Amino acid sequence: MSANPIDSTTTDKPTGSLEDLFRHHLAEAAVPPRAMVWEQIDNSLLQRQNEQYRRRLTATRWVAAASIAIATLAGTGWWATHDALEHDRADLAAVTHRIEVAEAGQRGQGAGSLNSSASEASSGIAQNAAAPTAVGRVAQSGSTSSAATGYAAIDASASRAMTPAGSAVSVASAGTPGSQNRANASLVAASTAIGGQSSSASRQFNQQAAASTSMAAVVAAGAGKTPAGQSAGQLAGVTTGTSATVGLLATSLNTGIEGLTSSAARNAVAASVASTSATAAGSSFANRQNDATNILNNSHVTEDLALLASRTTALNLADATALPTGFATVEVPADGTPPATPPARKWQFGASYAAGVFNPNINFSRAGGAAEFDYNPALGANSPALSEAAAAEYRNNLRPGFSQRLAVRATRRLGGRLALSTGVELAQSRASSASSLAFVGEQVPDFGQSPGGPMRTTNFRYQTASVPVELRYANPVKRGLSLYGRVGAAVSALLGVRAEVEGIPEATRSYSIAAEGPYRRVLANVRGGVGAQYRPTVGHWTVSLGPMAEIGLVSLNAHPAQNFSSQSRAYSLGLEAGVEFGRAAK
Amino acid sequence: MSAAAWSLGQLFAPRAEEVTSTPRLTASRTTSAAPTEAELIDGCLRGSQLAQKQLYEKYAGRMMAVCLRYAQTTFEAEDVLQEGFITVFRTLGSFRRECPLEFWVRRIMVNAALRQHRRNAPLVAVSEGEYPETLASEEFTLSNYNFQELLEMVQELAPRYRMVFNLYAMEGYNHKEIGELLGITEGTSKSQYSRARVILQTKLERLSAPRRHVS
Repeated sequence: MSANPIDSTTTDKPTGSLEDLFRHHLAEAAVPPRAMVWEQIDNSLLQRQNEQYRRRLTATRWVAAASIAIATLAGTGWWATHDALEHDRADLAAVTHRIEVAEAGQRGQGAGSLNSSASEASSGIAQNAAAPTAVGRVAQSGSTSSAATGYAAIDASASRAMTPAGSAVSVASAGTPGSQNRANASLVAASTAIGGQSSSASRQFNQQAAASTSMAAVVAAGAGKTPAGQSAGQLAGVTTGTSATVGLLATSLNTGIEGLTSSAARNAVAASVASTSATAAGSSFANRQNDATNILNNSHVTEDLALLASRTTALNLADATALPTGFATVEVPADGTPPATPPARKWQFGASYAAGVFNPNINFSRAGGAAEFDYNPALGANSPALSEAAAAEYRNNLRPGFSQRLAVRATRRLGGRLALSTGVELAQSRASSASSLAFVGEQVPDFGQSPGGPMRTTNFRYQTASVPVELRYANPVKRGLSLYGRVGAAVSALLGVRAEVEGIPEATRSYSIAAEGPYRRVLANVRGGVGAQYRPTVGHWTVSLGPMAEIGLVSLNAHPAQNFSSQSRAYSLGLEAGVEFGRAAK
Repeated sequence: MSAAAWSLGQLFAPRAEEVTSTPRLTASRTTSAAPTEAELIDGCLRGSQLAQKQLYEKYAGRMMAVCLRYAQTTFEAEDVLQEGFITVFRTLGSFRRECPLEFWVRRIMVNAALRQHRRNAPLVAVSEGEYPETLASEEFTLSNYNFQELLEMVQELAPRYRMVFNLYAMEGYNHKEIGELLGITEGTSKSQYSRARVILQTKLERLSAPRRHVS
């Protein structure tokens, strides 16, 4: 037994294995680091924070730019729609005013009201042009049964309509029988001119009308017995004819109206109208003649004539009897009011949601490319080979993931069944792969993994904002179910990519649009889809559903080693549902 | 992660006296109660510089000790510590709070040390010296050695031995996990650990011999 006191107390001291010894002294130890370590960490964090602020600022600018673009699109759409409505309202107000003026003229009684009635009627003529004048007369005479007999009807009805004037002529020009003949001849000539059979007829009409004018002046000076109200009524009849009657006769007389587009014809009709007015108004003939002449020389008349002249006609058909003989039967609502047809909107606004699968389809391999992976000092001398092996593993284990896309869009009809739409889209797509190395699109510093080791799944998330332009083919009128098809393209900004390696949170990488990374930040793709859409009988909305497909025009990785035609491009397949608001086409 | 590592993580949980004795700055000095772990995490996630410094000061000492075990020099350990804490603050949002924060921070430090090892291993050439192939197991009196002596012994190990020894003996990983982490086979891990153990045991015996002689 030793006398050493240490030996005597050895059994009281705790003992343990080598592992216990090191754990006892090292595991719970604490060694304060130097103060400069925190300063360096703080400095790094500050730099990182500044970088984040810079990225946020960039993102804010992008959002602001996108907002301005959306606001501009929406404002343009609203303006276009509002402008069209205002135009329609103005047209409606003008037509209403004409009808009111014409009705007022028809109600005019006595010589006292003649001037004003005639003036209003002249105004109506000015707005409705000379051709409707004749039409109005014909409408009053009721000679609208057959367009085939239009010429005769015009001649006859015009003669009947002019009966008071004719009477006046007969009474007033008893000593000048030849002038009545000239007047009748002028009407016949006018009918001929209206028929537009030849320019010589128009010239003849012009000459005859001039003669009639002088004759009518004589008649008016001598008599003036024609009831003023009747004359005014004839003038007012220009516009009192129903729109249907005007339409039918305008069509029937289109050829004649075309003949009136020449200045000679207009002058002729002006003279005719003036003579008619003179017959009724007596002493105010000269004024009305001037008014009528001025009216017909007015640019509005020219425009209206041109408008009417542009309408198609069926009178040049060989078989005129094939033309309709009357109005088609139209169902009228019980309350007698015609159904109001709202103006169609050229712009429609809507939103859509698409869900499907997305495959980034990236090939990071640089095999066969001009350059290998860069040397990475963190990975050692063999880093290019390591990165190539990781890229191959990534490619072999790449799996598509869920993709969803939300879009707001404005659609403008181009006419027919075509429409062009644009808007803004936000999309988020996922994909996954696996690698024995921490490969997230680039070879990150080693996290204790090695080639050939166990695979670790890496989850990728891609966020994009896009501006698409699509051409859509669909029936804009049909209610109920119908089909649609669309093709288009989109330019996308890759807002961010996040890659998470399962089990190694330190390997998580986030690439923003403002930061350099292995992914391309601006993308382009083409897309297409077909499907069915449903538009209810009542309501101004449309829902659609159908499959869609999309493929990138460029690769998702920023620096592909392959040539353009051999590059792998991202694609997605899925279903898209959408809803659009706006009135259908007429 | 093995159960052993988890239990070690719990074992390394901060003690109450250490938390209360950790110096803090400004606001925390005026408050009576120290911020909890959740409050520190939330503060860091909000970007509070004060919370970041509090978290750093709370764990810096123990994490520095961890880094010293894996590094060969103090400078290298400080580099690892700096890189590890930057990673902590950068990835704190992914911490799921399913385990103590210290365990999570320690794991990040270990990973940072492994990365440093990967970077420096090809550049380091260490002579193993003359050591026997095997030694019989021996019981050691824990109080006969201090922290500095044992730390120097570990730091003098060849990097590959030091890594395996730290991961197995200190962190609680098994050889299969060590093989995956270091990119070596399980057998290699076992043999390297055995070799590291022999070296350390020899050094301990050499260190204790003069003391016995003096005593």
